[in-house]
Formats: sequence, structure tokens, C-alpha cells
Amino acid sequence: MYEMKKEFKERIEKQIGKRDAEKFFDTFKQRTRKAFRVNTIKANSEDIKERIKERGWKFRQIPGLNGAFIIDTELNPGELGKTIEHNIGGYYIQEITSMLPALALNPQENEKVLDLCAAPGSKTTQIAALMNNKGILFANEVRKDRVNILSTNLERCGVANTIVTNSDGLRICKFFRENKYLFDKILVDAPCSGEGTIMNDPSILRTWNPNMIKKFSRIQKGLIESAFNTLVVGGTLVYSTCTLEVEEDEEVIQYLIDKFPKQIKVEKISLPLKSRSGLKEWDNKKFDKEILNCAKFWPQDNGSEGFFIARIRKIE
Amino acid sequence: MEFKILGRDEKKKIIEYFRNFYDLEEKFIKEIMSMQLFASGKEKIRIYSGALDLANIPKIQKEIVVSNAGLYLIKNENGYTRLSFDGATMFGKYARKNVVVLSEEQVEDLFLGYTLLFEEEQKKGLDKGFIILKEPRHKEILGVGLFNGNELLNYLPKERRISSFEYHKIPGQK
Repeated sequence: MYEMKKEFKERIEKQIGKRDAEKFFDTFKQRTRKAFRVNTIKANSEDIKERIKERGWKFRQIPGLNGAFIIDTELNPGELGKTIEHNIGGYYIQEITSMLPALALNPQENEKVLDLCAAPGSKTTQIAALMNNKGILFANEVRKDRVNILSTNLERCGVANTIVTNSDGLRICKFFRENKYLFDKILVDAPCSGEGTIMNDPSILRTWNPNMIKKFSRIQKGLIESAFNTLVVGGTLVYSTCTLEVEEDEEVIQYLIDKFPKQIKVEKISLPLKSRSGLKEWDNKKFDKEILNCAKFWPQDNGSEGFFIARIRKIE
Repeated sequence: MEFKILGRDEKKKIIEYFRNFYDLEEKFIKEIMSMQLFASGKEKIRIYSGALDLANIPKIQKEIVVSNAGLYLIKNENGYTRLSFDGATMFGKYARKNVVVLSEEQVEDLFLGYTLLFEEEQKKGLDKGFIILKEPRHKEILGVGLFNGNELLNYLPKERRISSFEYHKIPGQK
């Protein structure tokens, strides 16, 4: 177990209070339960449920999160990925909270959708399934080495409606705008400091530093602004991260509100896991009241990785 | 990535091959005819089910790297047309001919990468060529293998092989 840095601890305590922070820190001693999402392009939930029963695995399902299974049986490392069903793309191993951004986006089969930071493809495959493998879906990834894993996952899941691009997020948005090609829905699942994932990747505690947060916050602001400019009027942008840092979450949404005060509505989202509202203020900066509509998922509330999700509508 | 969109005639030729070799249901024929097919490289054909006219891709490629599109469906090699693993899992359910149900031992051998020897019973009705493979319990499709009249050459992609696959050791199963 890596040691927690003093500043990290203080920042969390400042955000949620000492008592709740202790509960958050306690989650670092556990691993999240293995979970997966049935890939409806290739399989259906009832069949997969039967297969899990055959294996004798104990499982849970979450009301409102169709096709999601949490496996309570202790499995051997990699066991969930070694089944025939996984091999043929019947399900995708994914944290429960990671399934929520695509649900918040609610893509439809006749829409134009952009997944701006797509690798390794958990959300892209979910979006494609929600679109019934139709419509227009661009999946972009800036890192060339991660494009391969994205493509592999798309193939395994039978995704056939997707164009995979390898570009910087700002550049591709600019390209689409210059060609007057705007999207109905955009997911910005932004690169982040990842502290919501400490349960499964404790090394985050070692690499965590305040400069990293500033760096990511800068990148995230660029991405969200560029993506917002690439939306049609009436379109929806979902911004998500797997961090709980205010500078990478609420502050990014505040930045967008400040840039486009008359064009934005941050919508209240109702998702099937326990969430908390975005903060009202941080570091003596008061946030717009719309920030309260953002949803923050803390590991101690759901036993799953931490996530932040904001759904923004372009209203003008 | 290279994109050469297939015309109606080229598309028909591919579909006819599958119609004849696998006796595919009309549902598949209709489904595939509604999609765009394109060649990426000399041998591989991909299928795109989305609504973008792929004729726009070269314009995009002038400024943005397009790494991939749609699903890898078939490969032409050694005079045979081979369905990809994922092409088979997507469309193999419509096949009524040249499909074989493997035994449990054969499924294990398949995942371990071995060539499969067929029982006489299994060979009945099979043509030489790429045969669609099913596992015995739930009839899930496990891609294709090249049947040469006697044995089945293993074409399971390396990334789909499982080094310690044990089909038998599922609780409740013999």
C-alpha cells in the first residue's frame, strides 16, 4: 500500500469533511467487485445471466442499470476475461460507475455522436450498443498506442457503426467545425488524475501531485470548450472524469459556464447509483448554482470507482 | 487506412459466395446489403453499418488520421473467402450449411490453438473451406476453421486463444 500524501489527504478532508474522508480512505484497502456490462450487439442479459448461474458465480444486478452485473464470488485473476462469453464479445468488463456517462448521454440510433477521448473503448462500445449499431459514431483517441486496444475492443464487441480517428481532441473538433459538421451528442470522458480509481490502482497515490491536477485541468478546459463548439444547438455534451478533484470537475464546468453563459444549461441527471451534487464553492470561489446539477459518485457510497458526470445542453 | 468502397456488383459477388457456401438466411442478405462494404488493403473487406457515406472518408483523411472503420468481415486468401472471427459471431447465426458443432474436447483444443481432427459424423455435409464452428453447450459461434476434408486447421486469432482454457471445469457440468 502506498502512503497517502499530506496534501492529498487535506484536500479530500476539505471537500467532504474528516469523517467522510476516512470512509473514502478506507476504500483504498479494498478492491471493487468485478463487474461487467452485457454487450447487446452480440448477447442478451437473460442468456448471460444463465451462464453465470451455470458457473455457480454469485452476482447482483442494479435496478435501472440494465445488463450490468456485479460478481460477488471471489474470482481468480483474469478469470472473468477467460470465458467463452467474454471472448466472443458477449460482455465487457467495466466498473459500474464507468457505465453511467453513456447512460447520461443517451445516444439514439439516428444521431451523430462523437466520443472524443475513446480508448480503451468501454464507453464507445456501450454507446454503439445503445445506438443499435446504427447512426454516426466517431471514436477519437489521441494516443496512437491506445488506438489499437480501442479497435480490438470494438471488433470483439461487433461494433460496425464507428469511425476510429487518431487525433488531438482540439484538432479534430476544429476540423469538424471548419467543415460545418456538428454533433448531436458528444462525450468528453477526459484524461484525468484518476483518483477515483485508487481502489483498483493504488499507485495513483504515489504519482498524485498538485501540479498534475493543474495540468489536467488545463487540458480538460480546452477539450470541453472545443467539444461544446462542435455541438449543434439543442445538442448534449456529457463531461466525465474518474477523478474527484474539484479543479478537474466542478471548476471545468464553471469555466464553460463563464465562457458561454447564455448558451449553457447544466441538466440535472438521474442515474441509478448514489451520487452527490457538485460543490457550491471551492478555495473561496463560488460556483454557479447550475454546478449543483453535476453528479459526483464517491467510492464509499457505491463500492465502485469514483466518477464525476455533468450533462450540458447547448441552448442557444 | 486504405478505403476502397465496394460497388454493388462486388458486394453481390461476396454475398452470393456466402449465400451458396453457408446457405444463409435471407435476413442476413438483406442486413448486409443495407450496409457499406469496403476494402482495406489487398485482402481484407470491412463492413460499416453507420449512416456516414464512406465516400467522405478520403476528405477526412487529408487532415485527420482515420485508423479504422466498421468491422473486419472477411479476408480473401489462398483462393478462399474467410469470415473473420467477429464477422462469424455476428452473422454466422444465419448459416444453415457448413456449420459444425464441436465436442467439448475440441473446444478446449481450439482455444489452445491445436488442429482439430473430426469424427466421421462431424464431416457429413461439410464442404472443403472455412467452416463455422459452434460450441456444444449453448451453440455459441467460435469463428471459423479451414476444413480440408479430414481435419480442421485452427484459425482462431492468437488474441482470442486462452492458454489455460478448461471447458470442463465449470461447476455443475460434467
